[in-house]
Amino acid sequence: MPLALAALLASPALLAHPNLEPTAQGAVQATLQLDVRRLNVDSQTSASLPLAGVAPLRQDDWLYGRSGFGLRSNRTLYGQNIDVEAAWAYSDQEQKLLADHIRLGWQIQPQLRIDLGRMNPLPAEQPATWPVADLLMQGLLGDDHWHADGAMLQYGTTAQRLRVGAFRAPAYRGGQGQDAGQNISNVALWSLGANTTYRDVNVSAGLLHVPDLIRESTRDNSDVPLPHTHDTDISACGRSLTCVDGNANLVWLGSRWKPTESAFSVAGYAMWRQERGVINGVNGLVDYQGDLYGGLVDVGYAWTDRLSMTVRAETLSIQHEIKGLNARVVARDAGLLDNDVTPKRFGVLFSYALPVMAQQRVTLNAAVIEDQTRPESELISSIGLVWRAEPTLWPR
Amino acid sequence: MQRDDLTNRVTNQVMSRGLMQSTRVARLTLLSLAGLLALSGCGGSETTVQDANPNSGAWQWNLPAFFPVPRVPDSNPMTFEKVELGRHLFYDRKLSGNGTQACASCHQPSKAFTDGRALAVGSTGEVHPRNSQSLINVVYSPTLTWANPSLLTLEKQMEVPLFSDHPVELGLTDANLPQVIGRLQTDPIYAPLFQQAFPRDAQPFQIQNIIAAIASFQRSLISANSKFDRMQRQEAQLSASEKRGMDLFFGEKAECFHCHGSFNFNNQVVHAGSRFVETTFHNTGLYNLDGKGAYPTDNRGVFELTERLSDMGKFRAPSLRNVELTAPYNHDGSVATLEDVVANYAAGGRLITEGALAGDGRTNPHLDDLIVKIDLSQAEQADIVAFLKALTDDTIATNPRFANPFATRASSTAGQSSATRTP
Repeated sequence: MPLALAALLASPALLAHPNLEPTAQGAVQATLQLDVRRLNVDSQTSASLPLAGVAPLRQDDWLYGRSGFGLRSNRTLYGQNIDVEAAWAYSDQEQKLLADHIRLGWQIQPQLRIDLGRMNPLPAEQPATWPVADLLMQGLLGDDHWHADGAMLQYGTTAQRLRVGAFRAPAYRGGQGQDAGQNISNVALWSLGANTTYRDVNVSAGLLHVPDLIRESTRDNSDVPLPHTHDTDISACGRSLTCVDGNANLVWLGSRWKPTESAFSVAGYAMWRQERGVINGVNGLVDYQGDLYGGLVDVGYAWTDRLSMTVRAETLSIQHEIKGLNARVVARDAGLLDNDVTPKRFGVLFSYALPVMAQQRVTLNAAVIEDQTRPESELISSIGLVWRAEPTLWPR
Repeated sequence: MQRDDLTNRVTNQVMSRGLMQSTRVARLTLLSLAGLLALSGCGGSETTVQDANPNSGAWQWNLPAFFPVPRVPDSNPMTFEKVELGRHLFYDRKLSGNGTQACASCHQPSKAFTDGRALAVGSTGEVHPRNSQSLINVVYSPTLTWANPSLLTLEKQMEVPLFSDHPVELGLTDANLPQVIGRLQTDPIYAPLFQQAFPRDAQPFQIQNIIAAIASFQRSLISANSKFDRMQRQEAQLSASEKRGMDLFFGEKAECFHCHGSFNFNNQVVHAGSRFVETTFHNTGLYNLDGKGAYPTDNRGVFELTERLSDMGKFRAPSLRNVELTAPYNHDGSVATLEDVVANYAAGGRLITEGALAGDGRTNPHLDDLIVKIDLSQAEQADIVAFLKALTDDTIATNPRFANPFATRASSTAGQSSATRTP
């Protein structure tokens, strides 16, 4: 499998989440990407998962998410190795172009580096992008990409690296940054991650901690309209809104196995998120424990240098424990009560890389996914095109 | 040279150890990954709910998932025995001074515990200034009656129909109270009912116990089985017209939900989990007698208590559950049909062109900010009415827990009216 295609299949995302490796010393590189896919699906939005504050994802006929542009530069300034990145990408969910990455990296020592700015806060490998967001990200964020403002310190080499990050609100949905005036940490999300590569196996792990979480839980899993108010005085958790109030922790594991001389590759990802606290609802204040388990496995096979196939299986297990006065009503208000489906998806993705000019990649892809996130399963089919150019602007 | 060898050896050992450690980390991580994958793959999704139920004892509310647990005063916890006694007292005419009326005279199950009259009539024939209100889901009302922000408990409210002399309702007085209680004491039905309901009282035949029992029965009058409720339970589907009406009701065009948006379709709600209770009252532009916002004397809403002009014509927004059964409408029963009610709101108030009550309610200076002209077509108004009729719980009239305990006996023996029991 050519390196370009391998990178395409393995990278967490193309533009939205580039890796943090600097470009060549002294270079200024542009990235242009067009990611277009057409979905054939009955529902225009994904299933509403019974998770607090997680909205359904758009599944329109045409999706353009992850299309965008960026610039990267790696220069030596005052004897220090500095690289800068700025990238904008279209978000299908928000239907606008977002400043996805604006980052400054400083290589303090050969094995020590710090990045400041907007970046992906999850310090571990994520699944390759597919035409529709994977269940893990959908369950965690209700979105298909993750970026946050903060700092990440990295120690080690590409093969073995430790990462420590601190991010400000809203790094995680509902993550609160305390008022600095209260002399409390302004960090809304702490992250710790490590990765190691041994022979053909790459393993990465990440821990995230959200010390203070207040997230509005919008009930989307019912066709019963929700009363609402225009009175901002009572637009607050416990008055007119139902919110999860507590803290959150996430354990994330990723592993990828790609033998050099084999056409097969395997990647697996698992996560466990726990949220602890209370649900502060219109109809009461109840104790809450939420656990979200997720697993995803990709098995890839490359027939030729250009043509490959990936089979994906993914699932979520959503568990809530709610105790207290009016627990049932509050659980319903929060959209957590109807929880009798264990979401699953099974799919196959074919990719074909066209022979094109240098510094460009054009990949055609087609996918069929059986979606079991609703009581009745649904078939999603997709065809798409990804064009990516990375011209070096300087030196020419 | 020796130092370099030593350095190289140490470096190699460190690197070798690092490699071994990383291999171990990789194995551990893979094991953890496999474990988490198995956990996520095998474990199903589940929501476990443990709902506390204070002050209910062995009482079972049988609430749907979208109804909160009612608030019950510590001084009068729910018991089956009190509710059963209260049910008997509620339907018994012995409880009026002259033995002609029971609570059920003005609160009949077939009319969602209203009486079908524009204005209620007391036991002495005196006509009341206001329309009888439904008792369905009254347990969730933080204030009681049409316009009294200070009347907060059913126990306190019940003193009004029992003892009020202006107007007279059931007509109890200090003078006839011993006689009324004596009627109950001599009825063989009541001795065991009172003893079971108040086992700690040596003399349970007391007015406080009568009030407590009837209040308990009233709290048990919960309705949640309308077509709308069954739709929420995914047991029924609204018709196209009802669905359009629901969208208008909860949408920004008709905006009915601002005053009728809770699970009980009003905006004054209290329950066991309440921490913030809104007790708002509204002037809906029914009258404007003098062009300055005046309402008819003796029926001027919260103003009668506060004497603040801003409270002129302010009344509580009633629950719209079973509204199809509770005609005529508004605080004085002056609007005959649901269609007329919706038309008044669409017009932003009521215009009365002639008579003693003539005036343009739409220009009432105390009109609530939420009452504005709404451009609703006739078809849209009909859709809203269709939705309102989907809030009718047809089981109220046949629910044995709400039913007149004397009806079967009366109809099978003496041929009496089954509505209430005579002394």
